[in-house]
Amino acid sequence: METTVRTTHHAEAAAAFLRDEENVDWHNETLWFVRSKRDKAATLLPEWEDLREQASRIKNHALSRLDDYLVELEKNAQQNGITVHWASDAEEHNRIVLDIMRQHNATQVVKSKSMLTEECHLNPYLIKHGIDVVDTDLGERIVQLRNEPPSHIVLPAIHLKKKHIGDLFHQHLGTDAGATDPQYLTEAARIHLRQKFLLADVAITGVNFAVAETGGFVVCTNEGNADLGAHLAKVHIASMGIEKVIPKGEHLGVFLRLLARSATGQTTTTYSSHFRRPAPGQTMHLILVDNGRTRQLASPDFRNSLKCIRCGACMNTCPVYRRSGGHSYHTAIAGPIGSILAPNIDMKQYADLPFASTLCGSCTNVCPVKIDIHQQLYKWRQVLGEAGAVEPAKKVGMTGMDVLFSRPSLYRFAGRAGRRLMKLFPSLANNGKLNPWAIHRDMPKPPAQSFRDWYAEQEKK
Amino acid sequence: MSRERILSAIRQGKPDLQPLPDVIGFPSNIADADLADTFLTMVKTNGGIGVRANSLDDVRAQIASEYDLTLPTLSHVDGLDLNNFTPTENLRLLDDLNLVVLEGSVAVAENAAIWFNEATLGIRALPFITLNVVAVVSARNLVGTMHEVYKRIDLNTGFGTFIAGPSKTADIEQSLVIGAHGSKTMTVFLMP
Amino acid sequence: MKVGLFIPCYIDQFYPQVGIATLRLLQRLNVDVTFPMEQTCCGQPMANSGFQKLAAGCDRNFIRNFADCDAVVGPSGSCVLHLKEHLHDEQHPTEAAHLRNNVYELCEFLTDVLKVEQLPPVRFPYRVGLHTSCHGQRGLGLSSASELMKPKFSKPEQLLNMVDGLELISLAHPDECCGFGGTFCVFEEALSAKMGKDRVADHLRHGAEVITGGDMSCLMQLEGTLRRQRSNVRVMHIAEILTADA
Repeated sequence: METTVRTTHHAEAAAAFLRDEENVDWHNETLWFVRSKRDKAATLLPEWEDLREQASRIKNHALSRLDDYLVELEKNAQQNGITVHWASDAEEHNRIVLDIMRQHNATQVVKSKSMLTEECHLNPYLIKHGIDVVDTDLGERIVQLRNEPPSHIVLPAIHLKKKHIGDLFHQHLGTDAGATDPQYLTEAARIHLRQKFLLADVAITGVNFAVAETGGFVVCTNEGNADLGAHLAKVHIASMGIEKVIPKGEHLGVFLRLLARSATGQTTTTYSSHFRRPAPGQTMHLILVDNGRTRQLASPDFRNSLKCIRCGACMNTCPVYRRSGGHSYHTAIAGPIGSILAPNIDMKQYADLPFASTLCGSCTNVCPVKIDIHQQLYKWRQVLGEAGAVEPAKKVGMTGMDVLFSRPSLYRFAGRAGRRLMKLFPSLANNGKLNPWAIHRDMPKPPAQSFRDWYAEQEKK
Repeated sequence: MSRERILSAIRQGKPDLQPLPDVIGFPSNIADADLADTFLTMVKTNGGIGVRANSLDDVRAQIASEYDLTLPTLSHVDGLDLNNFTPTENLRLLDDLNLVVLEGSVAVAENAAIWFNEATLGIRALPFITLNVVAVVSARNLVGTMHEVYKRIDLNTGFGTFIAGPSKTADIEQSLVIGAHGSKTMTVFLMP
Repeated sequence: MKVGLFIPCYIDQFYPQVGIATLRLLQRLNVDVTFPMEQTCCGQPMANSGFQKLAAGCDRNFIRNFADCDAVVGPSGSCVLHLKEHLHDEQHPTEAAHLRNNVYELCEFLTDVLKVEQLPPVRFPYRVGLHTSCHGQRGLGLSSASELMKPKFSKPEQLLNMVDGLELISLAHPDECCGFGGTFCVFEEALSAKMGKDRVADHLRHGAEVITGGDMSCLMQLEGTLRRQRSNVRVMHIAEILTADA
C-alpha cells in the first residue's frame, strides 16, 4: 500500500511568512546583500572557478576513501590524547555527550555553533537530563531564548528584526525597554555570555574540517565563542559528521579561502582555530557521527551532497529561501542544501522540500564545492514520486497529463474545448478559489485558434 | 560497535577511488612588493588597526600612548616586557586582562590572518579572553595566500589559530558590531 | 538541413502568435522548417513533479514526430532543456539520443547554428527589459550567470542588439528567477506570486515598456502579474520582437 503524507508543509509556512510583505522584502534584500558581498569577494580571485573545482575534487577524493581517512584521523587523534567516539545516529551521539558530562559531574555547557548538534536535537536532550546548555553564538543565543531553531546555518537569527531582539533582551537580559541599537544589544549579550563562559564545565563545538594526517580539527567563528568556550572549560567535546574529514593540512588552504568568501563575503573568518591536542589539565573528545551519512554515500545520485562545507551560500542566493524564511523548511538545515539532505534522514517528513524550489540552479552555481544541488532536487522528486510520497492529487493530475499528451487527437480536442470554456466563462479561469494561479495573477486570454490550427489553415492555402 | 558498523557501511557504499588534484593551491596574485600594503589594507578591512613600526621601541612607545598600561597587561613578545599581570592556573582570572601582546609567526596578505602557535600564545585562551589584542608581525613573515601559509606553519603542535581582526558579529539585522565575545580591538604592528 | 519546429503545448494553446513569429523568423532566415502536426508536450510538467516515468508516452510521441528531423528548434528554453536532459525511449534509444543532441532553443539555434550576425530589417523602438529564464541561462548556457566568475555574454542580448531602435534596459537583478517553476506556480502559489511581483517590479523600476524573453512560461508568469496590476507594459516573446514589422 502506498503511504502518502502531506506535502504542502513548506508552501503553507511560506504563505504564512509572506503575510508580512515588508518583512519579507527586508529578508530578501538582506540576504541578497550577503550574496552580493560573496560575488565581490569571488570576483577578486581570478582563480575562483578553479578553486571551486579543486575543493570539489578534494572532497570527492576524501569521500572515496572515507573509511581510510576516518581510521587515520582516529589513530592520530588518539595519539594526540583526544578521545574518539563513533555514533551511528543522533540518539547515540547525544548519549555519548551526556555520558561524558556525567563522568565529569558537569552540569553547565556552553555550545558554539554546530549544525550537527541541531540535527541531533542535542539541546532538548541535554535539558531533559538536567544539563544547563547555553548557545553562545549571538544569533544562536537569540533563537535559543525564543525557543526557536536557527533559520539559517550562518545567520541564525536573520528572520528577526532588532525590535524583536530588543524586546527579547529586555525580558531576559534586562536591557532597557525599547532599546534596539545592535551595538548596545551585542554588548549586553557579551556580558551575559561572558559569565556563562567563565562558569562552564564543558564546551561543545562543531568541526568545520578534520585533518586525517594530523588528527586535528579546525573550528571557524567570527565571534570567538568556540575558542572562549573550548579554552576555558575543562572538557571540550567536538562533534562532527563523518564527511568532514579531509586528507591533509595543505587542503585547508583551499577550503578556508572558499568558506568565508562564500558565506559572508569576508576573506576569512576572524578566528580559524586548529585543535590537535588537549591543553594540560583539559580533556578533549571528538565524536564522529553517521546519522544517515553512510546511506547518502551509498547513493550515487545523492552522495555529492556530502561535500557540503555549510557556508550557506545556496540559501543567500535562493529566491525561494529569501522569500520564505528558514523556518518554512522545518529542518535543522534550511534552504536548497537542506532540501536534499533532509529527505535522506526522513523521506516522508521532508517530502515537500525537494518541491520547494523552481529548479533555477543558482544554488549549484554558488556552491563552493560544486554540489549539483538543483539536479539533486529533481532526482529527489523522482524518488519521492516513485515511493508514493507526494500528494495523491498531484499524481492523479500527472497521470491525466500523460493520457492527454500521449494522444495527440485527445490533446487537440481538449485544447479546443478548454479555450472555448475559458472564453465562455472567463471569470471561472480567473477565479482564485478554483485556480490557485489566479489568486494573484491573471490567466492568459484564450486566443481564437491554436498555433496548430493556424498552421493547418496555412498549409491548405 | 558503531565504529565497525559505520566503517563497513562506508566500505560498501563508497564510490570508486577519485584522484586528488596533482597540485594543490594557486600562485599568489599579490606581488612581493605589495605584500605589506595589501596586508595592512586587509587588517583595516577586518576591523583592525594596522601600523608600521620600525623597532620594538617604536612599538612600545605606540602601545604606551594608546593603552592604559596600568590595567592588567600581558606580553609574550621577546624584548617587549609590559607585564603587570601574573596568570595562575585559574583561567577564569584572565577575564581581567585589558591587553595581550603577541607575536604572529606568519601572516597572510590576502586576508590579514595572523598565525599564532601554541608557543607564542603560551595560554590558549589569551587572545580570546582579553579586551584588546596587539600583534607584532615581521614583514619578512608575510605570505600572499592561504596556500602558502600552510607550507610555513607546523600543524603538529597542540593548538594554533589564525586571527584576522577583533571579534565581530552581524547577527542583529546584519549590522556589523565589533567586539562580540573576543577582543574588542586588534592592533597589528608590522615590523621590517 | 531539415528543421522540425517544436511548439510547446501551452504556446500552441495560449500563445499561437509566438509559434507564428518563430516560424516566420526561421523562414526569413531561409531555414527548411516543418511543423509535425501530432506533437504535444515535452513531458516536463510530469517530470518536474516527480513523475518522469509517467512522461514515457510523451517522450515516445515526441520521438515519433521529430525522429526524421536533422534538428529541432523550439521557442522555450525550459522545454528544450528538459528534452536535452531527459528525453528517453527504451525502444528507440538511437533516435532519442539524436534528438537530445540536436534540439535547440530558438536563440541558440540562431547564434550558434545559423551564426546570424544580421537580421532581416527589423525595427522596434521601445525600452525593453530582457527576462533571463533560468533554464535557458543556467541550463542551456544561453547567457553567463551572475554567480559564476566567467566572461559575460548573452545570446538573446546579442540578437536584440541587432534590432533597430530597441533600447535594452539594465536590471538590479539580471538573472533572478520569475517564480513560475512549472507546477511550483500552483503548489507554492503565494511564493510564486511574490516572486513574479518582485521580478516585474525590477523591470518597471527601470523603465521597461516591453518585457521579453525566450521562455513563454516565465513570460506568462510576468504577464499574469502585470495584467493583475492593470499595467500597460507589454510582454512579448523574443521571436515576436525579432520579427517586428519595420
